[in-house]
Amino acid sequence: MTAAVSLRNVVKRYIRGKQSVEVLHHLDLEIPQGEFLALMGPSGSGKTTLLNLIGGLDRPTEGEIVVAGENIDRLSGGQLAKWRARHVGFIFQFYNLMPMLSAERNVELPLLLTNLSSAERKRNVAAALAIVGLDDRAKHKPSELSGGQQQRVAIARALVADPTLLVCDEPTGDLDRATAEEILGLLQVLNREQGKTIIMVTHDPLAAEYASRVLHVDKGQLVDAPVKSAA
Amino acid sequence: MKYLPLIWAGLWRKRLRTILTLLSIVVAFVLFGLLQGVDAGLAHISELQRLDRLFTMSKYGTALPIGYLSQVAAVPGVTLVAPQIQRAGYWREQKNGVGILATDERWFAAFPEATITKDQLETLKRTRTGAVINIACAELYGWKVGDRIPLVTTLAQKDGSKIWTFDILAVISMEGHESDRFIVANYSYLDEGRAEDKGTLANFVLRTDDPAHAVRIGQAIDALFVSSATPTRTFSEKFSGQSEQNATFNTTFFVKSVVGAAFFTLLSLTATTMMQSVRERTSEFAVLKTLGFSDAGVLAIVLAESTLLTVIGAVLGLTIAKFLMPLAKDTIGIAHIRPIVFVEGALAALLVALVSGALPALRAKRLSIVDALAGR
Repeated sequence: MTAAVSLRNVVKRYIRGKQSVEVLHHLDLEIPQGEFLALMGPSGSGKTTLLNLIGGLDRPTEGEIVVAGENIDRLSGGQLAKWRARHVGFIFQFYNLMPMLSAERNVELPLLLTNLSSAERKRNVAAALAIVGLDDRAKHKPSELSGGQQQRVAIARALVADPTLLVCDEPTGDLDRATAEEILGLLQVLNREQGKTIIMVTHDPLAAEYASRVLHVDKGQLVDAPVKSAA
Repeated sequence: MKYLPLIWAGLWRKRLRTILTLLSIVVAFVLFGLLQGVDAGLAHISELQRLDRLFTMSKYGTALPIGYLSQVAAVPGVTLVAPQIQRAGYWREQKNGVGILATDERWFAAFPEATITKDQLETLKRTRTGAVINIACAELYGWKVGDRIPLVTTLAQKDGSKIWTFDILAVISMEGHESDRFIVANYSYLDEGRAEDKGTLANFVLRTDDPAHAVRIGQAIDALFVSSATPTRTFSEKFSGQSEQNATFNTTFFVKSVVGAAFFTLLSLTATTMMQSVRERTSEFAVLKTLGFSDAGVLAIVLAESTLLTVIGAVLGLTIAKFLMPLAKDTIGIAHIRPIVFVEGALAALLVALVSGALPALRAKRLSIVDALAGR
C-alpha cells in the first residue's frame, strides 16, 4: 500500500526565550493510504507538534515530510496554504467554527478557495452535511447547535473539499461519552467507506480503539505499540 | 463576492461596537460633507469670478458722476461699461430682504451668466418701472411675471417716499448666485425718481478685451481721475472676491482644520475597533489559515472589513449632508454639495479604511497558526 504520509529523520525545535527546546527527535514514520492512525501520549510528548507537521501547519527544523506525494517542508508559505486547502481536512477539539456563520457557510469556507460556482459549492456543502447527518441544520448558527452537532459541522467542513487526509486533534475531548462514540463512529465510517486516511491525536484509550493503528509518542519519540487489526 | 458573507459576518461580530463605530464615521462624514460643501461652493464662486470683469468705484466711498462713464469707455482695452446703483430693500417685512441693482442693458453683457433672453431685455428697456428678478426671489416670495411689487428702500423719492414699485418682467438665474435675493431694474427709473444725487452712481462694471490687460487698464482708468474731486479705485472682480473672503474668514483653513481633527479622531477610533476585533478573532483567523487561506488572503479580508465599514459610514454621512445642506442655504448661501465633494469623500473613506485597517490586517497576516490555535 502506498504511503500517504512519510516522515524521515524529522526534528522540531522551538526557541523559548533564550532556550532551544527539541520537541521531536529524529522521528521516522510511514502512514499508509487509507489508514486510521491514533497518536497517543502524555501532555507535552510532542503528538500535537507531530500532527501540525503532518498537516502542514508547521515546518520541521530538520528532516523531510512527504504527504500525498508532495515534499511539504520545501513549500513556501503560500504554496503550503494551497496545499493544505487541497489535501488536508482539520478537525479540532473545540470545533473552531465561525460563530457568526451558519453551519452551511462554515462548511462552505474551504470551497471558497476553489473555482467552484456558487451552485456547485451549495451542492457539495449539502452533500457533506448529509454525510454527517445535519442536512436539516444547515441554516443554524454554531450557538444553536449542541457540542456533538458542532463537531459534525466541523467534520463536514473538513470533508467538503475531499481532502487526501483528515487530521484530528482530540476530536472528542470536549464531548460526553455517547456523543464522542457517535463522532468516532462517523470517523470510522469515513475511513472504511470512503477510504479517508485519518490521523487522530487523543488522550482517550477508548477513542484510540476506533483506529486501525495506535502509536505512542513519548518525549518526542515514537515508542513501540502493538499494531491492531482494523476494529 | 463569494467572500462577502464571511467579511460581513466578521464586521458584525460585536454588533454594538460596530454600530457605535459606524455612527462616528457617519457623523465625521456629515461634517466633512457640510464643511467641504461650503468650501467647494465658495471656491466655485471664486472660479466664476472673472479677471476680465473690473469695477470702478470712488476711492473715498462717495458717488461717482455719470459723466465718468464715457471717459472710462474710451480707455483702450475697455469693451463695455455699465452703471450700477445698489440699494438694500425689503418686501413687506424687514426679514424679506431684497437687493436692488439699477443699471442698463450693458450690465447683462458684462454678466453673460445671467440668463435673460433678447425679448426680455427689450421689454426691460421699454418698461421704465420694469425689473427682472433672480430665481431665489420667485422661489422664496412666490413672485411671478406680471406681479407689481413694492419694495421699501433707503433711497428717497422726490415726494419723500422710500417705497419703489417694480413690475416683474422676467425671472432670471445666475450661476453662483442661485440663492441670492436681488432684482435688476432700470438705472433711469431710480436716477430720475430719486430726490438727491441725480446723475451719479455707486460704481461701474466694465469688461476688458483681455484678462492679462486688467491691471494696466485699471491703472489707466484711475489715472484719468487722480486729480479730480472724485478719484477712483479700479479692481478686478476676482481680486475683490478673494480679498473679501480672506478678510472675513479663511474658510479653507477652517474647513481643513475641523475636517482634519475629525478624521484624525475617526482614524484612531476605527483603527482601535479593527485592532480589537482582530485580537478577539485571532483563533478564527488561524482557522482560516489552517483551511488554506493565504496570509495575503487574510490581510485582504481584514482590509475589506475596514473598507466596508468606512464606505457604509461615508455613504450614509454624505447622503445626510446632501439633505442637510439646503437647510443651511439661508445662513451660508450655498444650497448644494458639489459632486467633487462626493469624490473627495469617497477617497477620504478609502484612505481612512486603508490606514486604520493596515495594522490589524498586518497582525492577522503575520499570526502563526500553531501559536494562535494554542492560545499563545
